[in-house]
Amino acid sequence: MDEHALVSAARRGDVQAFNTLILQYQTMVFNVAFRILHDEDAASDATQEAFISAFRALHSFRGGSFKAWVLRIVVNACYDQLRKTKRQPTSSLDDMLMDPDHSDLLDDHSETPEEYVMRGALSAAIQAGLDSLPPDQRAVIVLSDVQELSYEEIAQATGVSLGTVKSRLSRGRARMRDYLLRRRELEPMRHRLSSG
Amino acid sequence: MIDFIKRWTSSEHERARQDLSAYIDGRLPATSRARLEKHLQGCSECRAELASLQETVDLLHALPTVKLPRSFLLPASQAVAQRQTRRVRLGYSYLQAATAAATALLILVVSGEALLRYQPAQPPEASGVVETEATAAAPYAEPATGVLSAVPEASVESLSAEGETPALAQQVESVQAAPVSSPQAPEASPLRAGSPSPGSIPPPSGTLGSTQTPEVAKSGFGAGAPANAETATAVSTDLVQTPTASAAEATPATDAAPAASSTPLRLAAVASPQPVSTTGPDRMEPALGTPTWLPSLLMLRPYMRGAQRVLAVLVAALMALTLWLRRRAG
Repeated sequence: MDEHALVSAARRGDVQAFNTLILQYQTMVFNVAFRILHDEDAASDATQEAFISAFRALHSFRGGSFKAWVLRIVVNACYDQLRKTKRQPTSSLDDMLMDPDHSDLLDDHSETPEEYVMRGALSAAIQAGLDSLPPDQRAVIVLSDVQELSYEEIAQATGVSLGTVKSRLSRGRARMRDYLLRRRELEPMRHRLSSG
Repeated sequence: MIDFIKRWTSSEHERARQDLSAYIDGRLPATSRARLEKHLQGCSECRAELASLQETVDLLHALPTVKLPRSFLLPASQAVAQRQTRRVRLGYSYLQAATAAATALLILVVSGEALLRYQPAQPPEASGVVETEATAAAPYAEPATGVLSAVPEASVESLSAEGETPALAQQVESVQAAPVSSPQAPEASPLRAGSPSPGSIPPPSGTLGSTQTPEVAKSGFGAGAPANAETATAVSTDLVQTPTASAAEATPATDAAPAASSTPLRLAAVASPQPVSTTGPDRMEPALGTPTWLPSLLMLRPYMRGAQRVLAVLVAALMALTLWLRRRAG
């Protein structure tokens, strides 16, 4: 069954059809929420809330990209979470490395301990850089450079124009670059990229 | 010249820096891309910035995918919740429409009531008003140039039957000699009996005063009713005594004067079935174009206050219900 048929069935109240869609998008939706919120519990709540809201509001879905529509709901849920908690995460690199739960979240366990540490350190540094961005720039960077969505999909998912997407991306990348340069994370990455 | 070149290269440099991000994504138009590439050939700073930005993007691409902590599949009970939500949202939209309609009606009633305040305070109900057209020409504030109003023929006849005519004739003569008479009034004010004007209102009793001379009254009533005319003139001269001291001095012996003067006033207050004329140039003109629906609208006026209260309560209740449903619908 294609996506359009699944959406139509879910609109008629078919939960199984909607669960098929959830299976297709839940990893991406949770990862977007996690990168924006940098908190597993909050990201889980935002993801679940987004899927429930999407199922209940399916009658207002006017076609187009279902992925972008669901992402818009989850991005808005993340903004709500950030407003509620007023969180401005300033997790240090050491905190991230010492967090045993964090290492369980990583996908690739087939690497050497050195690579693992390097990878963990880099991930923590990049996440800290993301956390330092304003929420609107953070969301655009996550959707573009982490999830690799097109400009059009990002515009639909964030509810802004293409020009705004471009400018937020440009400013966000520049800030990320400055942050990583201050943390001297680009040098080992350059070395890692050249050796890999 | 050097400054111009510096400014030009500086603006070109800034533009190139802004375009770097879109250049990495391959989203620059062909002309902008060609200009940027040309600039990059001669600008080491922009080349370094492009490289660092590209590395940043590569780093972000390299971020690992985070494993799901749990499944986010929905339970079957969500179908019921979806139906409930749909119902609540439908009810919410109906409530919104009802609230808007009630609010519009409230605004209509409030504004209508405010507009009607400027209409005649007492809708006229009875006939038998005699009025002069001199009212239009005579200043309202001038005591000696008021309005003769409301001398019904019935009262005139009764006065005649009681044999008061000689005494009243004396009063007429004394009024003729009274200095309060307005010289302009006779020409401008022929009396007109039994022809109430639509859209006019009775004058306030405190401002009533008649300045009609006997000649005026006679000519106004016409030759067909000389006796009545005289009597009516006498009555109207009685009206003069109320506002002016000189007229009062002129009629000390008239027993019927108080009753005669009060009767037309009362009748004027009761008024005709249609609105009666105003009494001065600063009042509203007898509205020839007064809409026919106005009287029926005026009849609704007493109920408007009550309607306003009921509608205000209704709007408040609808708003509270709408807000509650909105919160419930999420």
